[in-house]
Amino acid sequence: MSDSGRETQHVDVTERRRAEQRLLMQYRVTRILADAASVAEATPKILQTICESLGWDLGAEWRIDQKAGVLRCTELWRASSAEAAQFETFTRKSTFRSRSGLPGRVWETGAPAYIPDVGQELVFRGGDIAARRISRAAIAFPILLGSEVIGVIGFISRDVAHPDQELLVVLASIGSQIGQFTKRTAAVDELQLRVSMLQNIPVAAWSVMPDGTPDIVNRLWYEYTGQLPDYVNSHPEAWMATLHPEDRERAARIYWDGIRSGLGFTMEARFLRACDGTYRWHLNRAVPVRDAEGNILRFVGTSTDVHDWRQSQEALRNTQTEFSHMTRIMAIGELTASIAHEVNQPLGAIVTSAAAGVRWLETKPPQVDKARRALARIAHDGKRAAEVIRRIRALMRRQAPRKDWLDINETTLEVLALAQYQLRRSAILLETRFDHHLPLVRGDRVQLQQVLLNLIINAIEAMSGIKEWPRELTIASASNGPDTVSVEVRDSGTGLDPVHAPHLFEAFYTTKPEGLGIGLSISRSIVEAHGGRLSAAANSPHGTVFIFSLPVNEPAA
Amino acid sequence: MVLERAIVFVIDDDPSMRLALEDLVSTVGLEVRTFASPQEFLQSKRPNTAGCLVLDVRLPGMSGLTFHKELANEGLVPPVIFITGHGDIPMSVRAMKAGAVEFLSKPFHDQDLLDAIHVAIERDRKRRLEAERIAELRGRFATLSERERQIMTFVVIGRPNKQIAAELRLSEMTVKVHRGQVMRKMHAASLPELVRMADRLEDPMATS
Repeated sequence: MSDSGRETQHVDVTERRRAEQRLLMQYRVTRILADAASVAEATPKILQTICESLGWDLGAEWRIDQKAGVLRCTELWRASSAEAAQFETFTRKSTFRSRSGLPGRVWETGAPAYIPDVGQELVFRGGDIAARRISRAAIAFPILLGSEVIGVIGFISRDVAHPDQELLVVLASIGSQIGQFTKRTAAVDELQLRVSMLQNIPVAAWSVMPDGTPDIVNRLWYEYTGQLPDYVNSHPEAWMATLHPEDRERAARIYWDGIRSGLGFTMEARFLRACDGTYRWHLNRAVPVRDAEGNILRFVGTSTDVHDWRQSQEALRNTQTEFSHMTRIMAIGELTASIAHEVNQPLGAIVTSAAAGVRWLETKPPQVDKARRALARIAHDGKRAAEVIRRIRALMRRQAPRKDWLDINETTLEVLALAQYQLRRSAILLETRFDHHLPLVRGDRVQLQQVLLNLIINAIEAMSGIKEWPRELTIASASNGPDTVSVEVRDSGTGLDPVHAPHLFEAFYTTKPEGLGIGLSISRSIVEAHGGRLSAAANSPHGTVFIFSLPVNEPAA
Repeated sequence: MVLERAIVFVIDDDPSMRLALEDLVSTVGLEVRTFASPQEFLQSKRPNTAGCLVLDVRLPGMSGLTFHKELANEGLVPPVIFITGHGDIPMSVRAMKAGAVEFLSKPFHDQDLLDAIHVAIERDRKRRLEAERIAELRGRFATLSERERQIMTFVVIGRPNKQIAAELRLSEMTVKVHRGQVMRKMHAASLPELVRMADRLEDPMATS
């Protein structure tokens, strides 16, 4: 009894010490997890603490390599003994499949396990003699996230040890603590990644509080403007300082309108680039972020440097205007004879009528009535000459596109008046088929006339060599359904060569020896700028038909 | 100017120009008819009086020059005055060679046109008078018998009666009688006059 009593007392003392040790160990592990920022930082410390607390030689962590379907050693700690050092090498390289070795078994069952004497069983590395010789006992437990095993931690001791149930419970609880920590740090890592993405996004990005004061501003903004975080944080309208003075008032108005209305905003404004002191155009956009109840939490937005894009757009627009001006001049040049005739005709009539008028007044007695009629003709012909000149001037002038309500028939007739003579001289029969119940279209009269003129000149040229059949030009207007008006220019010329047809509307593509190849490409871009389409097709039995259609919009009330 | 009737035909595709020309020409008391195209002119009924054509060089359908040539081919050659909005020298040279009276660039001096019209009408009048005379001569010639024509041919080349008689195996008396008939039917007062008549009848211009 006394023996057994001593025994019991001894056990009690040992157990109390052991319990204190374990409590301390648990406390230390908790502290490590509380202080560490990442799993990689916490794990070696935990392995060391457990080994030292329990007097074990080596601890290792394996994480599941999902791709390979194995457990792979990710961390290892060992005591400074030579035996443990030998053991480290192959443990680091060890991998386990499910159910293989002690870690494999833990992975499969999700429960702690131990081997009292490794001498009798394969431990961490199946069949390894060194392992069997050095190690005595092994214990392993899962890192659990709920019921899912995400890794295994294992230890080896030189002492033969029979771990009690209590130790297994403690280790299991450490396992799930590490699991929870892993999950938490993964979430933090993800959040950090997202913040860093925002910081490094290749556009100035920012968020603004519902009252319009700045919240977060990303790195690119600071770099671009040269402003410092402290300055931005302490000056709610710091961004205004980097704005071009001419843009400030407008930008501020749009900004505050967008904030107060809760709708956000889109605006273009020039910001100062710190590195070279130039103002550059930015596209600034902000949208509200709301909670479930619809309250605005923040506005998030970006400022994109669109300066180069804007400039190239502008250059493109200028070039296009230049080109269209050029083609217009060219078209006019081709029509010079026609125009000279159109102007000279009323002038000739004026001079002749004036001479007749003078003669009527010089007769005895003066024929005042006849002279008056001559003067009336002069006035009429004078207006006619002025009208021709007005039309030519309108065509020559380079104007910003205008949007007027146009009667497409009238617009077409004005062009035909200019081309009439050219058509007659080329012995071309002109037929017009106008639908007189067309709705008005919205567009630039001069530009559309330029398209028509270009198509008519092309038609005249296409028919210039035709002798075998009549040269006929048909201009027709029609409505294709309620929302489209179209104009057809149909010739009986040489027609489209299938080789050239696909390239017809390409810039600088021409089949004429003296052509620049920009007429049709500009014509198409003009029509498309009006929301319409320009296309070509073969005419039967000869020639080509060009059709352009324009959308009909209801006049604004 | 009190003259017999003359008509100025104006062909111009421009209505203003037609009106102005019509008015100007009527200030000098001439009759004017205007046409928009050569076709319109050709289809019209024209009285048989002296006149001239005022043509725009560039006309719908065909050029004024081509039209002029076609008229000449058909034997209708009224004197032509060309007017043009784009007068160029080669074109006016061609027009003058083709028999145009004048070539005027628009806008032209009114007096130049009226002068040209008067010249043209005068030319036409003379041409018509000549044509009338030739027509009359031809009429007279047509009344001659075959024998009389034979004898006239010899007479106008200066053959004496005796020689003609030998050539035609006739008596000299018979030749004399026929010769008297020829002189009478042709209304010739003397031999030189008959020779002039024969010249005119043979003139290729007169046969047109």
